[in-house]
Amino acid sequence: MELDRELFLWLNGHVGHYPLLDAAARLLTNEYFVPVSLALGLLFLWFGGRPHERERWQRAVITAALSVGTANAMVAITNFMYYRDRPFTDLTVSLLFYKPPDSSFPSNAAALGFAMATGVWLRHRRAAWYFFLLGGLFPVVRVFAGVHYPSDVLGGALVGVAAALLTNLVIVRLEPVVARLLAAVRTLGMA
Amino acid sequence: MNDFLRLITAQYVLFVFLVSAGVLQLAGARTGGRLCLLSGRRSSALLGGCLLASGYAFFFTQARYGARGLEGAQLFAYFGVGAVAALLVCSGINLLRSGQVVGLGRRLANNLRASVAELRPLFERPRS
Repeated sequence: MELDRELFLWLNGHVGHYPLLDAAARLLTNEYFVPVSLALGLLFLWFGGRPHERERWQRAVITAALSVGTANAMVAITNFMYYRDRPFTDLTVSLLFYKPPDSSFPSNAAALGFAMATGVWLRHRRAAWYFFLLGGLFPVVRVFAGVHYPSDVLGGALVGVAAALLTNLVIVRLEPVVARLLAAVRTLGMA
Repeated sequence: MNDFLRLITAQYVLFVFLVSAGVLQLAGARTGGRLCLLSGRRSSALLGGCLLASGYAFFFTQARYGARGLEGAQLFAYFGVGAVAALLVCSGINLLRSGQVVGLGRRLANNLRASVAELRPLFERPRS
């Protein structure tokens, strides 16, 4: 816990020293830039596959989207059982973001980012780097911005990976249903 | 909903619409598909890049994105609205451009029927 706090203070201590870094962090830490960029990545995978790639790419999107839903549920359950104050309640922090009122642990941003990235990785290794890069950067920048401890990010990442692996197990078992749904969507011209 | 939320919602939906249309153009350019607004892969890719850049530039220079605004579920729902609108506009213009509007209603009805037929086995009881 002491290491967690020290690492947080070291990272957050750089706020205010480099205006460009602060501006970049403000851009990356809000609820719009990274989530929309990640969702656009999925949109491209859904519609951008050539005929021989389409099946695998669209299955990557299905796995990633359902993994995000599972991660969301797991974070909600964790928050119901355990509450951790945000760093700014106990420490003197330089904030680059508004004060979120929910639990600090686990990081929702890390859970959703890693769930999506792992979901894609299970089906499409090459495309996954984009999702891991953005999904990994997002929560780290939130530590810098003063709203998460590093252990929140680690916990969130583990929740995200676990959610994707769990979702993949279910998808593999429900293969005929997924195949039929995909065929129905394609027949409608939406894929 | 207060004025700030109303404004950022409108800005967010427009942002999602522009960048989704951009991504659909890039996807269409890659597949040579039915979502392209222009003929030719290079012009579609160029248009896609412009739409993406203008969407990001519009939102992140105009909106107060650092303040507490939309919640997670709202972000998800409004993303759906913007992305589906972009998909409908791109498909619609592409259909008009390629002259496939004649008999569109009948084709859609047939596709819907075929799509339901694909799903029917999921709801049937297995015969013993």
